[in-house]
Amino acid sequence: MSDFGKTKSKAEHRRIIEMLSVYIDGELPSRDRARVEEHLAECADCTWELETLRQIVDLVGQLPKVPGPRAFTIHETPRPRRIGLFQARWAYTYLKGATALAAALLVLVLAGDVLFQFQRATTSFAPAMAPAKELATPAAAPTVVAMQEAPKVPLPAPAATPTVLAMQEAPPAPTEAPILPEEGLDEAEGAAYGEVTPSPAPGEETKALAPMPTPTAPADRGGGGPTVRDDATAAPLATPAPLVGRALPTGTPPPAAAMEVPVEKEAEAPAAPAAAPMATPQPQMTTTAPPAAPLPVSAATATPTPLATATATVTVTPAPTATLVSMARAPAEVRPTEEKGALAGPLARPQGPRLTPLRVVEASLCLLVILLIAATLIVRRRNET
Amino acid sequence: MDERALIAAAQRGKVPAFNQLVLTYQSMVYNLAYRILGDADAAADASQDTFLSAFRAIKKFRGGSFKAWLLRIATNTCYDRLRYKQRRPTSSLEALLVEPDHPSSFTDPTEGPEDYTLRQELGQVIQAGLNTLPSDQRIALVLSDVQGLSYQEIAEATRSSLGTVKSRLSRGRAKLRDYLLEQGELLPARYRLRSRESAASR
Repeated sequence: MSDFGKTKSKAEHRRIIEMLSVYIDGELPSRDRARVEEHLAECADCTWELETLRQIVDLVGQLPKVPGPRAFTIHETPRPRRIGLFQARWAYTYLKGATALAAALLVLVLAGDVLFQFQRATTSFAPAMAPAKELATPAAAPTVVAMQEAPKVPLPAPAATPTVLAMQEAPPAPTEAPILPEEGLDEAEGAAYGEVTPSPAPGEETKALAPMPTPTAPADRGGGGPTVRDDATAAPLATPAPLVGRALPTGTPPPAAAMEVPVEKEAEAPAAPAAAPMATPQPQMTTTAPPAAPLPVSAATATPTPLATATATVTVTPAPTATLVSMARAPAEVRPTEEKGALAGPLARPQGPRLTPLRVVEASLCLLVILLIAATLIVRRRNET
Repeated sequence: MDERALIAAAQRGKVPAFNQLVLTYQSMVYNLAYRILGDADAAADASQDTFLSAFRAIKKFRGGSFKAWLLRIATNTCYDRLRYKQRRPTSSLEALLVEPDHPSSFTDPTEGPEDYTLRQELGQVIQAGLNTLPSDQRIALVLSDVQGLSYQEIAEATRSSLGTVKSRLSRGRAKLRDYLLEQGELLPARYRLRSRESAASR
């Protein structure tokens, strides 16, 4: 330890110690090696250091080999190289982000849509409507009022629409209405003036049968006749076709079909096919069309078989399927309905029959989210393996 | 098939060829992982991960030492595991425990049962010492003194400079020595280190 007396040798001593490990490995350049050996000759401390370090290297080198617990051979068949996107590690992260983003966007759009509709409904219709909307699920939209002119309002408040019409005159009816499917809407729309009013009251067969179309005098109807502002026009909506009424009691789907046919005939532009499928099944519901005095708006007012009549077609399928009132030939009368539609529009049009840009955006967003989720899951699975 | 041919086949996606390489190197990889991680289960997982990663990356292997390339992957895998462990203190405590019953294989068939027992004891003490080292030093030490890698290879495997490797190795060895000195009585007599004092008094 005499080296410690001098500062220089102290520093040298430290430097030498640092080099010992490398010296052991034989990795020192020859000049340094000579320096180390020179120092070792006169420094017992460093000699001990070197000795013990050598021992350590030796000991570690003697560590027994540990037998592996098993073979680590690979069993998976080599995966075909994935598209770069799927292979990349970041793909998962990015996909996750994209999925979240798309989902958030979708929620936003939907929320905006619903809010907008709700607002519209509340403003145009009494509070009663609002609840209906909430309940209304797109699929359920019972009464559809297809207003060519009212297309702008593609609001999915299925339940609401029927009620709306009914409400004006017969408040009770609306509640049941929601159940009705929107069948025939498309066609109705195509027809431009066809309105579909589902007659809500199920179980009231008697009423259904009873419904005699009283073409004129919406007031006469009393509860049933949905009198839209335009009295004349209003009738069509509410009036359940007598025929229909009968058919409904039995609850057989056929009525719906029947309805559709006529509609098609009249309908020139079957725009929204979506609604149709739903409607047929529901015919079972017997329309309580009490109010049901169907008021054929069209010129041919009280024709019992509205469907059949080409001119004034007021088809009211009471309960099950919304009654379609297609007025192909009576544009004049239609107009009134249109007005109704405008009012009822938001509520009535709940269904997606309308392919508005917003709907398209919503649908594609939905699709996008689904695709993204699928892709994310796939990538995650691949990363895991 | 020599190694180069096996590698070429593996690069074409041939799993059997790659598995040949696995069988050749699995002991090396497992031992490396075991010494670095100090835990048999973790070492097995790390080994499997290593070979899976190697298989996926083998197309990127551009010649050179396959062993060093594989050890680099194994080292990185161990690093990842250690980092993961550090975030979970419970398992890092486990790492400090030496498994007394881990059977070792006879590397020397002429070794008698006594020697075998000695080496077992020695192995346990050393492993315990290794576990006390900072992971950087432990990895350098294992790569160098267990696997026999050169400084250059260690530098590549750990992505550090030569100077860093030297210093880690130097400190790791000194620290391990100090540990073994403290645990002197735990070491089999034959391997006991002479203390600084006894050396000075000589």
